[in-house]
Amino acid sequence: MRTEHPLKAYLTAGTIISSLGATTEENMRHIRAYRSGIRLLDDPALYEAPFMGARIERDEREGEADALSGYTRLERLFIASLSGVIDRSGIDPTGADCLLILSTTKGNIDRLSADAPREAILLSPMAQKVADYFHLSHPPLVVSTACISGVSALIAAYRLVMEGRYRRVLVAGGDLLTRFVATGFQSFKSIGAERCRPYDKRRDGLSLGEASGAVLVTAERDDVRDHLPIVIEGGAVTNDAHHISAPSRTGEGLRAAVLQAMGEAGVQPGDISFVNAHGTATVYNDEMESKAFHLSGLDALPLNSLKPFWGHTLGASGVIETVACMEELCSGEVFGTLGFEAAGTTYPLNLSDRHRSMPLRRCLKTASGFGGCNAAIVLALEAEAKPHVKLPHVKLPPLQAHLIRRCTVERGRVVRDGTIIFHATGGEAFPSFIREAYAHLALDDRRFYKMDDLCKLGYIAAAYLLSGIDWASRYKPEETGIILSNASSSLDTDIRHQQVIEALGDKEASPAVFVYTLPNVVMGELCIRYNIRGENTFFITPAYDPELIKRYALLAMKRQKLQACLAGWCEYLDGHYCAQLEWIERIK
Amino acid sequence: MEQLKQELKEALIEALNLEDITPDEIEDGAPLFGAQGLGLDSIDALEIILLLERRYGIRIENPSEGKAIFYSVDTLTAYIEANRKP
Repeated sequence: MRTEHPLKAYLTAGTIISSLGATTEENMRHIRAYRSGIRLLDDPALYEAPFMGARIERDEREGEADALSGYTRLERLFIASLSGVIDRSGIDPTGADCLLILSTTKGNIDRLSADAPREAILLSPMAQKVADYFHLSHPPLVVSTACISGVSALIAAYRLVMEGRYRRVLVAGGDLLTRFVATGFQSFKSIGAERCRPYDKRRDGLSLGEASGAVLVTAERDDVRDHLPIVIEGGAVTNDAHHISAPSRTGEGLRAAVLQAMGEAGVQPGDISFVNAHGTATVYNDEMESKAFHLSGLDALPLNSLKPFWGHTLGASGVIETVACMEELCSGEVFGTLGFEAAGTTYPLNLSDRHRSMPLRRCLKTASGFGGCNAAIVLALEAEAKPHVKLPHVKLPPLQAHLIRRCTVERGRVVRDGTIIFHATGGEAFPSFIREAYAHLALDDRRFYKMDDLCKLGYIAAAYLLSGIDWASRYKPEETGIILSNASSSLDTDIRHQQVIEALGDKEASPAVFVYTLPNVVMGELCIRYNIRGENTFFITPAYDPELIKRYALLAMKRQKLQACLAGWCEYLDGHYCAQLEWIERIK
Repeated sequence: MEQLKQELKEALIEALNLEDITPDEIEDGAPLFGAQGLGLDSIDALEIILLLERRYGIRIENPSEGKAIFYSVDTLTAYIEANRKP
């Protein structure tokens, strides 16, 4: 059944599986009772010393153990949360109008060991297994943009539905609390001694968590069955162009994401009822957020962070926290930030450790992550939602973009627009090739030597791609963005991190290695190098799909300020390398 | 002391991937962090903490303590001399 009213992206049937329970209801009941899933984890298999974290203790879907025996722990969690969404909405997910987007930072990383087959860790086969379980028509998309992955995947779903490309997009986010992640965050000294206390004077770091959450983004109002209809009104992703791990000192990047998302929604700060922020409780993240909310004129609004309930659940956090926002909007309560006592940020925010009842109509959800990325999304009760200006039956001329230049780096060669512009004399092996290319470009950038191989590849490819194009004088930094993809995520560096902790011990984990165990950090490096501050999304696909990436760039251009975009493929694993980058500019 | 400085410079170059720099180019009193110095950042500071633990048995729990200690090769060597486990 096709709806006749203006196209909207409804959000419904949110399902949460976390340390607080296997259903959304159970999770909400515990939150309402001020119960946290975070406790002292004393498990040498996770980390050699006890630390604060939130784990899913009982095995999910025990009754179906046989049917799901061929699936990993994370795959079972994805299947369980998606089953919840399908049951609650009553949709048939097998239709050609339905797509699945998975959001994860590390996927099946718990399976990574010295002798594990690489295929067991790759994200696309994992997503395909989950999609096949439900007999979906389309291959799933995977978004892996660090800690903004969940919000980023929701924005992608929103854009695809509003474009009319799919009627329904299932979004599932999931990540596990593993030794890999625990040792990495410990090496960053990011884990607090006590349960995390976002924005508080006494905050001293985050608490890790694990979860899976799923939700349906749909153009069909009839899919919304058991709650007030909620719509996504806008969303935006930006980059700080400041540092690959440290939050911006100014909050400018998050502010830009917030303002762009509100701009798309057509709302002002006064139209927002509350903010659900990222609030990890690291000193610098929360400080950055306080500045960003102050700059956006949002610091007086009721605000919360749900990390004290679930911990930081990485690629799941954006999804499960958005599901909580939906519950809050429907029930007219802003959940408390458990444990908050006294403001510990430059600009005090409107926080409470208690749940607050009040009439709610619209909320802003934000996230920020490694690689300097930020994301913001606006959700509203439908009755309150502003009508979209552009009606879908008014056919707009198709947006067009120029392909300005294309550059491919592989097998010891750099090919630009069909011409070989560099051919390594020392052979095609990556270490010698990349040094030779760097010398050939005559660059002097100390950051280069610090990068992992995936980033070095992206850096060199981008340098050849962009040399001589004077785009910085024509576009503002926030009008430029990066959309990249690859098959093996950051697996090459993941293996290095795993080797270090297996060979030397948990406390020997290197922060300079761990920071590169996220594929979007290559975008972070490029944003710093070229002062690119707009759209940032990293997709994982089995092979390069130029159409998909270009289409997504066009979607971002249509819905955001994006005018020019670096897009393509950047893949590195076990010495095999291939980068295919394009510079695309919008035709005005 | 001089030997420790030389050893430390070599260790820093290796641990922090400063491939384009030789020990002689690192001045004893020059700032390691920030644009005027070697341009080290917060990740480098964490790596230096690891290095101190591994090589000299010195533990720095709070990274913010490191700021004064890590100012230069001079300040670092003085700290190591004063705190290293025999």
